Amino acid sequence: MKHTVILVGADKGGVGKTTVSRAMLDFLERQNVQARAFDTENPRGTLHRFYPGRAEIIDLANVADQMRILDTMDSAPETVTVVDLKAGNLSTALRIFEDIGVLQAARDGEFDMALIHVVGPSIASLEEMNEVAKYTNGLGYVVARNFINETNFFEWDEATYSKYFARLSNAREIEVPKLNEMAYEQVDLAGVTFSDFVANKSSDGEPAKFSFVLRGYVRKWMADIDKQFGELKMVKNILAAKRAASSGKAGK
Amino acid sequence: MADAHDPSSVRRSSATFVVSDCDRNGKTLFSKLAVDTLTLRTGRVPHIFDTDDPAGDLLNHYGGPDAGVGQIVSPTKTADQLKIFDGMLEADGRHFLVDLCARHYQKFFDIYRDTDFQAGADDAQLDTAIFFVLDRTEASLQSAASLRQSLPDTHFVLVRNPAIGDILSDPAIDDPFKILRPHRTITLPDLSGEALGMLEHPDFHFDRFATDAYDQFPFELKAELWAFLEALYEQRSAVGEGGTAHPL
Repeated sequence: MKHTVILVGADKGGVGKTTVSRAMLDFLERQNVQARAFDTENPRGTLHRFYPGRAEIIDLANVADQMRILDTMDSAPETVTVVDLKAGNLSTALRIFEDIGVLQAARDGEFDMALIHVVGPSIASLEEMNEVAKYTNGLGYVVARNFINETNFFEWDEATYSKYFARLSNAREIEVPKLNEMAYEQVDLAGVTFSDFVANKSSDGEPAKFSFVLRGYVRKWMADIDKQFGELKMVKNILAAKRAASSGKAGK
Repeated sequence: MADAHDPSSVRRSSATFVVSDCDRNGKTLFSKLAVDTLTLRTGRVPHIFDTDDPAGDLLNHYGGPDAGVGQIVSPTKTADQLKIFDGMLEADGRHFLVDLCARHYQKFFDIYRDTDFQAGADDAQLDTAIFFVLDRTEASLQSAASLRQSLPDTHFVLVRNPAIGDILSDPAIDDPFKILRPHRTITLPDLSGEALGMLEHPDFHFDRFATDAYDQFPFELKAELWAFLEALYEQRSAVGEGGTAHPL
């Protein structure tokens, strides 16, 4: 089964990048897809806090750490690698991957690679899309619009909206819906995955006492974002490959 | 859903929701009737969530927000949503009444559905019942039918108030409830202006009236109020006939 690398990045902090990484890891787990994660938020490791057993903190500029991601794809039991790129490091990371031939290997079909580019409601954030466009040719490119602040991404200004979004011919767009602030903070405070929060489980797997209402908000939010993940080509490929592998095993 | 009148479920909690998609149709009066009925049945005033923020019209009949029988809440505030929904699910043998303002109707039931509150209530042994006070318009009838359809596992009672006009009595109206699962209805009996004024007085309570606490009332007024209560009580008996206030 071909390995899939999902890069999640943004050149601006606070746009919901790690939230999208967490949502994707949760989604894959619910689909019974084994995934590993790398957190380049070195040394803090926001993603690592929620997935201490699964997300490794790495420094992408370090060659040894690059090898930990790229040279282990065939040997890892997991079929998907999610890399949460450090805020402000998206273009740099893509340039590194281009320079060492990783992007070309993906274009050649050695493995699948997709970039989920999380953008916020600012011109500076939208300008990033032009900057990364030169790297995304031949890769899966997903623009995630984060509606966490109920913004409208300049849809009220047709010229601005068209300038950035209408020209994205090779990109899929997804929308990160708003999650109730108190629910988000409660999950953050508990340091658990979204799935565990909904299941009312603490980080050590014990029954928790999270609010029924807040769990409901998170459940609804997960369902909304899962629906969008499920429509992505890369996700469909992952799930199809998993089904094929499962039926192959069953046949034997 | 378990039957609130089943002797084996006496310790169960209950949540009564008095709602309407419109204002000024007798909803608060019906809430008062429901609070007093629950008080009579359980021996204790139910905890009231009054969503008429900040006025607290219903709570003012029970000593106001500082009297300890309830609180004024706004379903648009997350902290208040936790007070209402989490609070009811954590109840052990307690009873609640939510008087829902029309302006909070949509938000409240969005939360109810999105959180799958009915499933949580079932797990918590909390009996639930929605009393929808029907307004005079066809739109209100459609709202009631839509709510009933979206929450099929919650007791649903349609409250008709002929004093404001009864849309269901119009033969030209196609009753959307015909296509839905069986539901219950209760019709508020007509009252004179004097009797209505009495019911709307904050010092009047049905439970006290039923225990002869208002000896000073004129005979005619007492007779009318008794007839009102008896007419409501008789509607309880038609279980399965579509005409009952059974959840109360």
